[in-house]
Amino acid sequence: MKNKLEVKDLWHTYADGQREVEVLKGVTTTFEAGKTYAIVGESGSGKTTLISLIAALDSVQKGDITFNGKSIRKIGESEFRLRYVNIVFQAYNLIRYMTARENVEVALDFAKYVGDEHARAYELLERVGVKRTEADRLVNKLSGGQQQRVAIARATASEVPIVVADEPTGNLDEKTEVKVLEILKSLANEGKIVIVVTHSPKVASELAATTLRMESGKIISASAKRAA
Amino acid sequence: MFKNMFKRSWLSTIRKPSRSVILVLILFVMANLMLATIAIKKSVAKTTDYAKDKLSGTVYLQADMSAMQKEMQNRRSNAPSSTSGTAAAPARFTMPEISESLVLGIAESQYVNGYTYSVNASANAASFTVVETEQNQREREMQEQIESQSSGNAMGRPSFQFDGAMSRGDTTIVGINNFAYASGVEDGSLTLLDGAAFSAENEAIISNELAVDNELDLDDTITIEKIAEEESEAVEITLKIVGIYQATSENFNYNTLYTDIDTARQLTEVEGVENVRFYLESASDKEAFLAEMAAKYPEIADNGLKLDIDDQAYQTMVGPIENVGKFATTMMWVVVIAAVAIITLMVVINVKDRRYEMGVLLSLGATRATIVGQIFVELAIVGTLAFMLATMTGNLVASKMGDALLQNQIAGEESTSTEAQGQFGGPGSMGGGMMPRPDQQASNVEQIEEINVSAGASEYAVLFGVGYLILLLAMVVPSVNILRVSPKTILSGKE
Repeated sequence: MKNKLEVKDLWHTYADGQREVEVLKGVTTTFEAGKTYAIVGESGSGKTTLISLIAALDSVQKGDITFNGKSIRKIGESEFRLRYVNIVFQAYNLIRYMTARENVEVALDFAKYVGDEHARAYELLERVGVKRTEADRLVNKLSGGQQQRVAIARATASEVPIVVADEPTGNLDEKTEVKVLEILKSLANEGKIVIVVTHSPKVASELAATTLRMESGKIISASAKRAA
Repeated sequence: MFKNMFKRSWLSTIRKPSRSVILVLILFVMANLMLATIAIKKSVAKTTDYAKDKLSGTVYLQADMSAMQKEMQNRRSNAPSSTSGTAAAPARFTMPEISESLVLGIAESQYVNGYTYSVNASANAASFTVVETEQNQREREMQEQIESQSSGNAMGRPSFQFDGAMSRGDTTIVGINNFAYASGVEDGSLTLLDGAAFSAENEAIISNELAVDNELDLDDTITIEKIAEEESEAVEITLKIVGIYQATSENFNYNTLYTDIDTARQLTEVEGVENVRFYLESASDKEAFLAEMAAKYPEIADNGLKLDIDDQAYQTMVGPIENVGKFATTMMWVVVIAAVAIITLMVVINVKDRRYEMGVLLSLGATRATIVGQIFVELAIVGTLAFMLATMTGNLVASKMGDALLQNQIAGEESTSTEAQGQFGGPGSMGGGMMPRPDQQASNVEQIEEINVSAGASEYAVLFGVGYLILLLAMVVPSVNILRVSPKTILSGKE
């Protein structure tokens, strides 16, 4: 059976001073294993909130998110983040006092990796194009592109079925962007569900098999790319 | 999970050396102070125990001075203020009397190995000349002062008078049940040069100085005259010299004659006895002995008396040290509270600076508890280093601090004592012109002026225990902040 992530009638509000703002208004969609998805839309359309809920960074208020039929509420947010999902951020979100390798090893530790962590971390970093010499440098000494690769390597450290990326190429040059998109596609090819939030139509079209367009807290269209 | 937590803590500690060094320094200073106060407190406890042990072998029956002081204060505060411009009449106090029968009754206890009591009197030399000493002169001046005060100058009267503050002669008579227990004999400052202790009435032991000045020898006789208000009551008593003593203590009154109790009684109107001491079989018998006596003679407390180790001697021995102990306790609490406050503040700032890192860790699946744990482990790492360093320097700090505090206390007490002497006319005097008598034991007790402050394994264990407790307490407020961390808010850059 293929892994399936389902978003069911998801509503979400947040308080803006005295005012309650509805950011998601009954979002329903399904994500399948081995596929890449792009969520596009204007700022404030609700796409970041949607992936925050998918990544269990925020609590579901109304509606549900299930993985293979099991609710995220039942699994538990912390457990869901640990076992089901990894996140790649636009701002990389690496731990600055650690080297690239150590950042990956943190994720390996959380994933309870059995084996030589050092070797595995080097391997994961090399997969995304980070050489050994760079792997042993503190991450704040690396370029933006290298840091994003490290973030992706960290996201792949645990064998989780879902990878969520929020503007993963936002700070990168074109050449690095291409490389990062290739890595993300390769993750989908490994059988993971890859969901990317982006402002860039180019990224969406190059990466995603399905593009979900959001507006005012709703998915207004879902377009699948035809096979070439 | 824990391996991960410890690894992150270790990396954070070594990769942020400036923060770690500052924390180590702060904790090191505090650990030193803490270790010093712990070691001082231990040393004080040890010294006071030693003093108690040393004094426990001798139990005193004496006036309960602290109860009397309280009574005096009450009377003073309740005394009506004068409205006519004349001074209020001084409150009169009667020193509680110790009956000889009570002493003899207590002496029958199985715990008592020996006992002593005395009857103290004063007389004038009739057949000999007294030895001129500084003390004689001082006593004469005191006598003149008392007489001038009692001649009717109401404004000059002391606020309080003790009954028994009487006119004194030039010769001091100490009637004692056993000369071997006379103060100074035990410590060797008073030795029998010639002759033997008295064995009958009207026998006396005189000082070598008095004997030399008056060319007196054993079996010679001397005559003393009882001090009486009326001339018709004047009585002369002839004493046979049976012994000659040598006193080496400073300011000793060489005009002191030792006699038996009955001889001294002929020279005083006071019926009670003084300077009652019981020598116990063993110092460890003290509690059992006191319990037995409390049950057998409840009137001891009722009559304003107290049966205990000599408080005055105890205070003389360890008073300054006890104050050092109290100061160390206060200081320890100040250090603990300051440490908790400072470390809390530092951790709160640290946590605020690292909210981003926490958000990342939460997004990777860390629980808030493991993040609190990570921060605590970081503190524990620097704390352990600081505490270990403190074990190397703590002894020196404790020793220096203990000495400085003790010397400070001793200097303070000496200055207070000097002021008191200035007010009351001499050491041991009691406001009514009473001079210290040669049979007062407290003068033989030496103040402990040194304490051996050193920290050992148990103090180090306490330091580590209290130190980690401080670090735990310092984590309370930051933990609340960590528990409120929202990974989404942090990672979406909305903070």
